[in-house]
Formats: sequence, structure tokens, C-alpha cells
Amino acid sequence: MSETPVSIETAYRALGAHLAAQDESFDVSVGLARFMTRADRHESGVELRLLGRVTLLRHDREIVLAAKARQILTLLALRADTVVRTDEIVEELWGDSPPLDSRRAVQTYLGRVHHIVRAAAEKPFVAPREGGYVLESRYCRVDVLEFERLAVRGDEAWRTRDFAVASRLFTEALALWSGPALTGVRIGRRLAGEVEAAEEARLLVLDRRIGADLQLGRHEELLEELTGLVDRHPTHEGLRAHLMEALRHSGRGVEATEETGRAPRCTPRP
Amino acid sequence: VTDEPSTCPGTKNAVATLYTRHAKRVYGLALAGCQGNKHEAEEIVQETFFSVLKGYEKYFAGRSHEVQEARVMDIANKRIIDRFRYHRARPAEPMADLPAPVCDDPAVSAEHRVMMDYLWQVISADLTPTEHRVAFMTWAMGKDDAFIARVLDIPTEGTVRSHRSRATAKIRRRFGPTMTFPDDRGREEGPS
Repeated sequence: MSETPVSIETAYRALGAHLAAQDESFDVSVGLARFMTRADRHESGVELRLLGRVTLLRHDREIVLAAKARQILTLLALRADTVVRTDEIVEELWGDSPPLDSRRAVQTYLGRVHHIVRAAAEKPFVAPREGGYVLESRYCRVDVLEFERLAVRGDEAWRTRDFAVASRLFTEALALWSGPALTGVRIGRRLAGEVEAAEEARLLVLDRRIGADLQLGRHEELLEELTGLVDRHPTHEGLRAHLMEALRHSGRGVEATEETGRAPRCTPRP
Repeated sequence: VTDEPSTCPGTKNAVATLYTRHAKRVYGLALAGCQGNKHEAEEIVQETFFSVLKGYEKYFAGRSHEVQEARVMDIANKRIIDRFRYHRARPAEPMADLPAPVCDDPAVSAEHRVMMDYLWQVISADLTPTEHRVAFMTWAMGKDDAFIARVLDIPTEGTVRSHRSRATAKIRRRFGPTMTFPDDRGREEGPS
């Protein structure tokens, strides 16, 4: 190493350039593509929230939607960037009892949605495609997609054992929720099951976030939250296991053992 | 930087050019600031250029490359400080598991590379997150103790100085006289 003295300020200020030159994992083109997508959404300023009361916003101001328009946008958003066929929309709105002119009625509703959307944004985030319609996530922030993206990145951090980052990403994902998913929207045949699926996904991410926090040694901090969660979800084995681990590492081994006895037992099949 | 949305045509492409030009440097700075945490460094790059987008017309349009670069780096420093604020209420985190860098650029002197690699090893392995954040804001950003105490929610400036003293001792132990500190040069430790 050089014997010429170097000031700590000079060394610290050169550190960023040194690391930038060394680290080959940062891909400018990938980062730029991600930035451009975010910039497109910023330009349109449109956001559709499904993780709580279903709401369409533009620059944080709510755009009032009719019930059927809300139902259609919800269906399109849950399958963002793929074509939803008109007959699927008919099935969602009316099930087995569509009106005689159902396709025309759908066109009318979609026309209204299209009108609202065009009024709300320079970029039409719902566009007609062959045989149906598509919601383009490039021009509309959808909280469900954001939730999934953060969960995937949290899993990646978990796999590299970067538990602090995993915990933060999972926490950010969970913060997108403001209540039960798809609140205030009529649930037809196509949306049926989506509420339960969303809740399952939320619980899975919650389970992982707590797992990451336990890896970081936050056992005592988690006790109150875990106790409440196990009360609300008594059959969730992962949460109960987390509670027992947190109790054990907080010097409450006896209570951890008692907790084992409280776990609901499966009834053996005849 | 304003929070008003940018709607001028061409702004996005202009910011994309700035991104291509400066993102790597911002990433390096963020990587150093986040003690090698790549996820956080990538987020800081995104947040930095999103701030540039929002303030482009007012602060970047028509400015020289030098001014634009200085402003990009200034925003990057602010986003790093935002991260420090985010972490202040949280328990200490484990150190990043970043492998020692390897540099093949012949333009960079071998001595400089060895010294920077060694400094990075010390920062990654020896400094606690708080010691690192105090050291980074002091020596890389030139922030004063009152500012650092506010950002990190440290109760007194004396405690900031204690963290920096510990960081100084750890770096000094590894480097000996080849690394000089403000108090070696007859000045009070820390910027005025």
C-alpha cells in the first residue's frame, strides 16, 4: 500500500467512484427501463387501488366510478397487460343471466369507462384489443402489481440472506393495504375467489416479513403483534410457529410449550 | 425539488439521457452510503432520477453538463440521507455481505485500488451501521454534527462525536499513518 498519507475525506469521497467502477452487477439499461416505466406512470398520474376500497385516482384525487365501471376496471386490473375478452366481462357482470343485448350493454359500460379514463389521463390506460379490452400497467399504477413486485424483491433479498432488506420490502408491500381487498366492488363470477387469494397472498408476505424480523433478532418486539395475529388466525401454522420461536428467544420457553398445546389438531380421516 | 408533475414533452427523454450519463456514479455513491446494500443502492438511483424528473424544467433544463451533474449528485446525497432517516428508528442491521471488489482498470493506479479496497473492507467489516452513517455524512458529505444528530436521531452532538471517534480508531488501527484525520492536521475533528 502507498506510504503517501491520504486524508480520510479524500478517501471517502473517492469511494463511490471506486465502487461504481468495480461493481458489474448494476445494469444501466435495466435500471433505465424501470425508470422509464415509473416515469410513464408519473406522467399519467393514474392509480387504481384494489387493496382496500376500490378507488381510481389521478394525482391523488379520486375519480368517481359507477358500480359496473368499478367492477370492470377491477377485473381488467387483476389481469393487467392481458386481453380480457368481452364474453368474460359479460359473465362477470351478469353470470348466467345476461340481458338480451349484453354485448351492446358491455360496449356502453366500456365506452363510459373509456370516456372516464381518457378524461383522467393523457395516456389511455384501458385500450380496446382484439375481442376485448386491456389495462396497460405502464400507464396506470395498480397497487396489486406493486404488492407483487415488492414481494418478489423481498423473496430475492431473503434468498441472499439479506434479511434487513427483505423485512423492509415486505413491510412496504404490506403498507399498500388499507383494508380487505376489493372492498366496495360487486363480486361476480370472474372476481370470485380473488378476495380470498389476495388475503392469502397478504398473509404469506406477513409470514415472511415476521420470519425476516426473527432472523434479525427482533423476538421481543414481535411478541405483541404475533399474539394478536395468532388470535385472529388460529389455524395458521406459520404464525404460531413464529410466536413459539419469539417466546423461546425471549426467555419464555414455558409459554412456548403451552402454545404448542393450543395449536388446533387435525381430525384424523376415517 | 418540486413535487409538481412534469408534463413538458421531451422531459422524460432528457432525464433518460441524464440517467445513462450519471446513474453508475450515483449507484457507486449509494453503494458506499448503504454499506454495500445493492437493493437499497438501486432504489436510491431510482428515487434520485425520479426527483430529477419532477424538478427537471426548473433545475436542469438549459444548464451546463457540469451543473446538471452536480445537481444529480446533490439529489443523490439527499436520497441517501432519507435512507439514513428511515433506518434511524430501527434496530441495528447486520452488515452487508458484499465481496471484496476486484478492479482491472489499468488507468487506475494499483496503489489507489489497493487502498480503496482495504478501506472498503474496513468499512464493511469493522464499522457498525451508525458509525458508518456518521462517518459517511462527515467525511463524504461534509455535514456538521448538529445535522447528523438530527438525521440519525442521536440525542447529542457529543454522541455523534463518540461514534466518529470509534470509526476513526477502527480505521486508524488498520491504516496507521497512511490515513490522516482532521485532528491529525491540527484542526478540531469534523467539518466546521
